[in-house]
This record gives sequence, C-alpha cells and structure tokens, in this order.
Amino acid sequence: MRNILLTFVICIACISCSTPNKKSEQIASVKEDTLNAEGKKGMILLTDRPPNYETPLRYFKEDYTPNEVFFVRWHLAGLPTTVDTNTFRLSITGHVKNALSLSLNDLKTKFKSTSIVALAECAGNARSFFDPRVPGGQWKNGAMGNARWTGVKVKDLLAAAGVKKGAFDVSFNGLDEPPLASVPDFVKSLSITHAMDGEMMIAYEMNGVPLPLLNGFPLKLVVPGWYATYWVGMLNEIKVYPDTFKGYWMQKAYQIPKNVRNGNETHDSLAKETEPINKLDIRSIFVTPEPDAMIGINKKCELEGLAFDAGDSIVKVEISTDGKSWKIAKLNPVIGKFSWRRWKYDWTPHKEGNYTVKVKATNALGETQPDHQWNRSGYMRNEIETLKIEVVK
Amino acid sequence: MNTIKKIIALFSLLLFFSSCSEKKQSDQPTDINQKNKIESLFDQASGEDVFKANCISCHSLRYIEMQPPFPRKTWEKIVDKMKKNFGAPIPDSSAKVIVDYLVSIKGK
Repeated sequence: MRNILLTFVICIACISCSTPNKKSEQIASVKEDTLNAEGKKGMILLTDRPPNYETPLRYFKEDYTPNEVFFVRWHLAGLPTTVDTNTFRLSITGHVKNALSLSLNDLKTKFKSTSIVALAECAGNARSFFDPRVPGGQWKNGAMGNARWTGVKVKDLLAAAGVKKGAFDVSFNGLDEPPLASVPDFVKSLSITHAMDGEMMIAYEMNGVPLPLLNGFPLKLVVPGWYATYWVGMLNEIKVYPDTFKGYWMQKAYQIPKNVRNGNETHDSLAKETEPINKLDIRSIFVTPEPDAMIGINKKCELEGLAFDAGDSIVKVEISTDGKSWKIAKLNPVIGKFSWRRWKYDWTPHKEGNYTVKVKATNALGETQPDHQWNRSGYMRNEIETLKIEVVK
Repeated sequence: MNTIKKIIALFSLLLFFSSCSEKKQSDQPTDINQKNKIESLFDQASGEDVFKANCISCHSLRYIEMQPPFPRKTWEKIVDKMKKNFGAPIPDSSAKVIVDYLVSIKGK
C-alpha cells in the first residue's frame, strides 16, 4: 500500500514539474526550430508531415553539403519509413523491348558506375524572399545542396531495356504515395532525348555513402542542371511513353511563365501561357557574413558566397558595396560543370553605417541576374541578392 | 485502512485533474522539436476541428504556420486548389469554415 502511495506521489510530482518546463521550452524555441530526424542533424524544420527541412546557411561554407544536413523536400505524406533493400526493385517498363526489374545489386554489378558533382536546388528555394510574398514552402536559401552522386546512367538502363522506336517521354516515380486515392501521385517526366543525354543518372550514393532515407534512399534520379523537382527520390518506377506523359505534377504543378527569361511575371499581369519548370536560372548568394552582421571599420571583411547555373559555366561574379559600382570577386577553381562555384571578395569599409551589399553572377553565355524577379508560384528565384551589413567602430 | 483508502482516493482525484490539465497543454503529440508547439497557439481558433478533419490527412498545420499572412482571396484560392487540383474531398460548407479559420490565424 505504501508503495502505491509513493507511486502516486511521484507521479504527481513528475506531472507538476514537467508542465512548466515544457512551457518555457515552447517559448524559447518558437522562432528557431531545428530537427534531428533519421539520418539528419540540426536542420531547420519547415514542415513535419510531409517532411520539409532546410539546410542552415553556415553549412554552405563547405563545397560538398554534408548528407545529414542536406535539404529534404517531400510532397506526399505517404512516405515509407524503411526500405527493404532485399526486396526493392527498380522497374523499367512501357515503350521498351524488354521490361526490366532490377535489384540494387543488379544496378551495382551489371552496369558501369558513374560519378558527378551536381547542385540540387529546389524550384522554390528562397521563396520567402519574394516580394510580394507568395504561398508555398517558405524556404530561405537552404533548399539546395551540392553533392557527389554515384550511380548508373539512365542512358545505360534504357539501352538495356531496349527503347522502342517512337519513344517520346520517360516518367519517374518513387515509393512515396498519396495519402488519399484522389490525390495525384508524384510522378515527373523528361523527354527521351534528355534521358539519353548521358548526364542524367540514378544515384545510389551521395558523397560516397548510401543516401539518407529522407533524401531518397535507396535511389534518386539526378538531373544535372535542372531544378530538384525532377530529382525523384526513392525511385522505383521508370516508364517510357510513345507520347506526352500526362501527369498532374508535369501539366499543372511546377509551371512557369512560358518562354520568359527568369520565369518573370507581375502580380497585375500574370503570364497566360505556362510550361513545366526546367533548367536552373543563373544565381549567386552570400554565405558569409550572415545577414545583419556587424563588422569592424577599417578591418578586412571577407565576403564569401556561391554562384551557379544550369552548367553553362560561371565566369564572373561581381560585388557592389555602394549600390552603384561593381567590382570583380575572386572565383575558386571549378569543382564540376554542374556544381556551384565559390566566390570571395575582400572588403575593407572605411565608413561607419548601414550597407547593402549586392552580388551578381554572369555565365559564359553572358546570362546574368535581374534586379527584380517574381512569379506567382515563387519559383526560380534569382534576382540580385542583397546583404545588410552594419559597419561599426 | 480506511484512512489510507481515503488518501488514495484523494490522490487519484488529484492525479486525474493534473493529467487533465496536462493533456490540454500537450494535446498534440510532442515529437522531436515539439513540432506542434505553434499549432497549439491556433488550437483555440474557431474552425480548427473542421481544418483538422479535412486537411491533416495530407499535411500538418505546420504548412499553414510557415506562411506569411495572406488576404482572404488568396486563402480562398488555396483551398479551391486543394479541392480541384490536389483532390481534397472538402464539402463546400466546410471549405468556407476552413477559409475563415485560415484567415483568422494567417489573414491580412
């Protein structure tokens, strides 16, 4: 009896203690929500279900984004929490001579392995910076990451399946499922020409190790130079079509103004025609210092950041500290055609005050960034970035 | 013995009340990062039950929480898009309640 009483007392004590603690925790962490999920560590939580996690900016000081902080973006809540690698199969069906069903071992032993460094950038990266604001995932700049991908070329797989004459589109589907039958499954498609270009690949490794589950384990489609909406994770179905693939996620979602540079339109005059989003826009960002930093007067401040495009080669990055003139930044060596490229610029401010520093990149085609860019869905953000810095004594 | 029984009854009663009040504060599962902590701020808003019944099979309230404030017209468009494009089986009567709820927590 005494024991029972004691248990009651302890129970009550625990409850009354834990309540205020929880409260203060809530207040303390309302602004910054970080997350430690399976294979992930210290990411910024955008949404829990489906999971969408952002990479904190400081990790972009590294050329290769660590797997445990690589951004996570899923559309459908029906997401497997484990994948059995013994029973997992990648199917290749449709307009082919020999439909294939391949195990992970088949992919690793029957096909030549290939590696590429490529930047995956979410179509909606930096959406929270759009002005006026647009609904959708409110990402800052952390919906992207650079990694070395290892796997097999899509071209080799399609060759093994023997694509029939007249093939037109190829669709890619993953293990993620709609939670309701009425919700369209997340399936993306690319043209057969694109799929056969020798660059598109299916990765079973990311930075030398298997992909984290939340980044698409065991297989992820890698479409170098194209927005990450095409980089289908947990990929298990490839299908070849003799005509246009008609799926919701190709024909209605992820649309941008048709044939308009930077996917630009205005709030008052929306584009009448749209097309599926495709290649990465040219863009550059600041990594250090972080926004609203305070730096010392007459001291060297090393500005640093990243520039990238769809693989047409970043040739110039310019910095403006006075809002008028542009100075050339130093570029680090090229990592890879589809990788980001790091830039650095030493700046020694001689006057106190608030500065708005700008960065813009130019590629070998002469493409550069606009002063303003906007579209209704908040895609392809690439207007010239600004960074507020306060120079103090 | 009788006294002990009384004491137990009293403690049980106490426990019952404290667990009730506890439940109110952590009604939602408190997972990694207390993911629902901000959601709880919106718990009291009218229409929250209708929102939950119709929306959270596909996505959590976090999807709303992360948005900046939008005018009613924008929320109407979004709910309409959920119905027409994303196949959300929301009856018209509920759609209106959901829009009101969204405007009450993230309106402009």
